[in-house]
Amino acid sequence: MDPIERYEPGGGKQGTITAHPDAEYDIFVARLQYGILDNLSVGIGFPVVLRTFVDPVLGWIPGDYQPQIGRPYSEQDFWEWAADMGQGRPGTWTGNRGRLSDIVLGARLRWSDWFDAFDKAGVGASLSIYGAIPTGKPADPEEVAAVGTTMWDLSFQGQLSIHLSFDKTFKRELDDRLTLGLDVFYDVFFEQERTSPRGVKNPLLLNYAPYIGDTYTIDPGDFTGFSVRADVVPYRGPAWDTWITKGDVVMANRLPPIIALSVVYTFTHLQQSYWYSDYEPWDWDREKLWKPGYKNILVFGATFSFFRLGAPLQLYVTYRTSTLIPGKNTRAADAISVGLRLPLKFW
Amino acid sequence: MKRSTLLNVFAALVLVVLPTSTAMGAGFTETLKAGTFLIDASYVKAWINSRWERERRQGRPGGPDRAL
Repeated sequence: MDPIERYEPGGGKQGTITAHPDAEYDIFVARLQYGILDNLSVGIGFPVVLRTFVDPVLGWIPGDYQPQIGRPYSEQDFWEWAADMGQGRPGTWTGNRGRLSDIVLGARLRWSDWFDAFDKAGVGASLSIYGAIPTGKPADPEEVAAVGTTMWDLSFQGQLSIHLSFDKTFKRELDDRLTLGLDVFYDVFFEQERTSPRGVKNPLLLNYAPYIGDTYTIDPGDFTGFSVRADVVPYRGPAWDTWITKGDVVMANRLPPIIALSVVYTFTHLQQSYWYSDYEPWDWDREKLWKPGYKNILVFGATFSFFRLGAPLQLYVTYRTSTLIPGKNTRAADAISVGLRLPLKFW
Repeated sequence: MKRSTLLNVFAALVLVVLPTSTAMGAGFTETLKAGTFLIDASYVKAWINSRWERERRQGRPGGPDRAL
């Protein structure tokens, strides 16, 4: 939420309303992947926002001296004045219940399979492309604290994302207990048109339409970055002679380990975001808040596979944090996810 | 179809999908075996705590100030 500078005709600047919101997202993500070739897979993902909660945590920076009260407006002075003008103090907001985000389509080609040298070196290399179908909804422009469900609102990847990745395994040296990975990526965000608020719900705070136009355009700027990861197998576990391997223990030993741990570090550079409306000073005010920046993301993961014990499924939990290593000009989001994977073949 | 037949079919499917001992889902370059599906469902709880940003801004000028 952007700071709102308040001016009173004949009274100068009343002050600036600031907002440092706390927000929570509950999201369900369903993904379906399919192997077209052994080294070419495609997938589709459906992120559904179950609920979003926002507490705007409003603050106040006093403005000019007000002769009628003998001092600048305090926060309480301002909201009492605003109430007389029909503008209540915005409270918390809960919404996006069961609202679809942008559907993601993806494809991954492990092109290193075409070259024996990669296999001999224990290196895999792939090219992945993800594209978002704009099925998410932007925030209600008339709400002070609302947020939307588009890819840009969620800010975890671009609308078009290209990844070049490499993995190194150590099958002989370390009994296949370690995988190291490197990924470089470029995420594109396309320009987005947004509806200007008309002051329907917040007549004093959100009434830009008369001077910036009915709509405005945002060019969010692209993401560039890289990730490094390590996957470790601390516990392979027993290999039971279950129905999965038809009682063959040797086959069971080839199944995934019961516990696998991973850590991923991602550096993401954020470009400047640009605003385009009918009123350039308003655009510049927005752009001052969306300068270039970067974020440092750490993801810790644990995967539990039960194939060796006769159950063909995998459970995983991850903790993703961008507050542990500070970034700049970014929304510091943390997330915990739990999920399951189930492989299937229908013929 | 007999239960044993069903189990055999499913066992064959699992072995086709999981050809190696590496951790499924590990690394950046993993692909599925041809003709197989993978269903993945997860619940994500994400939060943005601006208190962290406020404290950082007070302590170190030039810190995160991007709006939500």
